[in-house]
Amino acid sequence: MSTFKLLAQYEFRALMPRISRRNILSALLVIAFLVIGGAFLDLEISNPQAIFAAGTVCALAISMIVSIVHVGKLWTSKYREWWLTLPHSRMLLTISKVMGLTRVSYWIGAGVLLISTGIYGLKVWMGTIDELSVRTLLSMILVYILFIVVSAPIAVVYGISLCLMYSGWARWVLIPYCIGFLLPFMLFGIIISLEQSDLWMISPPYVLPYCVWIVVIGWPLAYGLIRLIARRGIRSFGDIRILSANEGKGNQAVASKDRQKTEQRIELRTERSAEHSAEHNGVYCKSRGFAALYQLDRSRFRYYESKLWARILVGVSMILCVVVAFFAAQEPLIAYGILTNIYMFPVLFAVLLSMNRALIERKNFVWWLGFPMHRSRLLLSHITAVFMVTVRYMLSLTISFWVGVFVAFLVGKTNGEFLLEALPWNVYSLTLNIVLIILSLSLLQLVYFSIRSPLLSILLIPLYWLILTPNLRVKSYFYSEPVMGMDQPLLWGRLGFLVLITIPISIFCIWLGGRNFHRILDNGSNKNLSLFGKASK
Amino acid sequence: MGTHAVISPLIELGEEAAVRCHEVSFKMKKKMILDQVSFEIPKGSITGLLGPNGAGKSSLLRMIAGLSSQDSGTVQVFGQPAGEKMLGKLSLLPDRGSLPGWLTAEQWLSFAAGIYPDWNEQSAKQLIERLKINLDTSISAMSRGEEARLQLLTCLSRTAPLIILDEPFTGVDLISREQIASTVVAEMGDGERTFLIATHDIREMEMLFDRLVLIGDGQIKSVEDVEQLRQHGKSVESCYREVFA
Repeated sequence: MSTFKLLAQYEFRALMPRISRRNILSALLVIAFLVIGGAFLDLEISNPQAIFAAGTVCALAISMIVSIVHVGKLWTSKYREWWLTLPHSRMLLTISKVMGLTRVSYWIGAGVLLISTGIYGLKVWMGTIDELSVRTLLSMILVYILFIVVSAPIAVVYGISLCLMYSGWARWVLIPYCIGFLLPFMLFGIIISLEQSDLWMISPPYVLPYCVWIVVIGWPLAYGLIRLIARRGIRSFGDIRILSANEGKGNQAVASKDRQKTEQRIELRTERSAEHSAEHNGVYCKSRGFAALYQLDRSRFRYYESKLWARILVGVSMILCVVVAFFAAQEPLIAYGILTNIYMFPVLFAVLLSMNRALIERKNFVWWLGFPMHRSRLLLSHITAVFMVTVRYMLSLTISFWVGVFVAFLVGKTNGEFLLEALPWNVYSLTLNIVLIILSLSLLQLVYFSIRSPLLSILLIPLYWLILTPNLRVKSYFYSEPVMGMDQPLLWGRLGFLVLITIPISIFCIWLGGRNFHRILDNGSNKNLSLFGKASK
Repeated sequence: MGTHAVISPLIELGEEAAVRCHEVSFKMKKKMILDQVSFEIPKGSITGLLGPNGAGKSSLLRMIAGLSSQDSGTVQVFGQPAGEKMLGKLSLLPDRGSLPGWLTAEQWLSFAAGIYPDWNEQSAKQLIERLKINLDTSISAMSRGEEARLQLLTCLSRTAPLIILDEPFTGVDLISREQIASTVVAEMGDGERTFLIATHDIREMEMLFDRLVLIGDGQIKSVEDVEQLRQHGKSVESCYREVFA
């Protein structure tokens, strides 16, 4: 076997488990769950093409996410330096990684198309969509297979290109990168809401030319990106550590000047009472017990919030929100759409953060679990920290929205009536999303209970689906249909009911998660404890 | 090398052991990690848990610390079942754990003082000097040796009656090893706390142990009193070689 094939095979095996009876059974169970769930999901999809098109876009989104996560994990992976010292060109390493990830994407695509076919079959059986002839169905499936085949490599390359934005001016590229990342999700939303008259855009005769354009334009671009990654991106993996803003002085003997500073600080610490600790870089702990633990969890987010790239991302999103709100204030229906979706990204962020906690914090867990506190409090502290960060961001977006609206009001683009209509909608949307965050974060603590058994782990799939697609549920049950504008009644009763059920569910989930939190340290290294990764040994 | 059970005089005297394991078994993915492990650790002793890689030392220590549950058998700490409730009675230095990398040493110690109710500020101050911790250094930027010293500081600054050190020297440079060893020696001086140290680096700690528990392939191979060993002209290292060679 050639070196390239060997490396590509290695990359593939690193991500895909070996095929065994147990894995096949697990995969089939997952597919069955998703087929049944998808068939009963109230998406108002009345055309088979939309099912396959939406599924294809889903597969590409998942491929992109897998690639991004893979690159993210590689920076802190133990085998990173071993991989970098392989005596082969960087180009070979990059291409083999792309090939390995593309192979994984093809498996993902196959699985998703299988699920789409299952959903189609079930919906036909239920009578909710028209049945296609076998020939039409087969041709449609083949066309979408071809679409996945040609576009999966591009999704993979896009994902791993994250390594180019590691430092310097390239970090600014994160902004358009993140917008590009959202493209499949936006396409998904567009596809499922297409009118009958617009379905020609995703019909097989039109998808074929898309494939051609992807090959003609996309593949050369992807190849150029691969060359750039090989030349510059892989270099970023060679950094020994991801250093913080406060770079330390290493392991050498402390210089006498530093020694003096340390001694002075030691004296200062002992002079103060036990209730007060030194303030340093804005992070300090004057609290005890749970409050101290919360501040510790919160300090992680403060650290990342202080990074330039994070400030840029938040700043740009706020500016965008102001601009969009300014124009939306002139069109109430658009404003309605914004107010119902504005908090989607913070909620998604909070949920993804919690889902991947095992991946992000795996080496800290053993210390956290050693704290002399009830484990439910450990979980509650983490949930509270994530919640506070997310709500802060949501409030920032809210303020940005109203800044845009007020500017529109001041220049006469909108009137006071709009302000009076938009305000309760905003309050409703904000409250709804806050409750959804609490519910989602609490439900996610069940993952520790699921460690007890592989069968319980499978139940996480519908849970993740429910949590990752709140907009699909939320729009159906918590916003009036059909959408006529913001003068429609708000469903406060349903929101109140949601609040009522959230409290006991959250308490139960946190309690159950706390009782099983320590299981994350079990040396079951093949258990999927995060959305995309495997817990390390 | 069969199990060499030492009849514990503690049972006769009715004293409470710091740690008591009775027929503890634990299996993971069809592999027996611990197999009917039974031993005791007297209060105030310095016990070495010795064994090669993969012997089950870390798994056993996690059970004692209440971070993991055994499949069968009992684990007791100061007469109470090991678990979450006993975390206030023990201080664990974990193997391969990491402190929060986004904090500096000082920030971490500030949080630790708030989180651990038995935190001793005076001890922390002395240990900062002895272990030469640079308070300004970000934990993520520390070398392995420096972070190991900071972790040990965190562990020893508490006044918990049971101190568990899991492989305190793994991947640590020579100078840091000596600093860690001398610090542990100094902390052992009061004789009030019980130390359980798991290591396969015997030489740094050989002179300190009162008792040895030798574990291999998930089974207790031998439990030895170090003083008796020396009276028979043996060292800890020679006993280790005898059992595992």
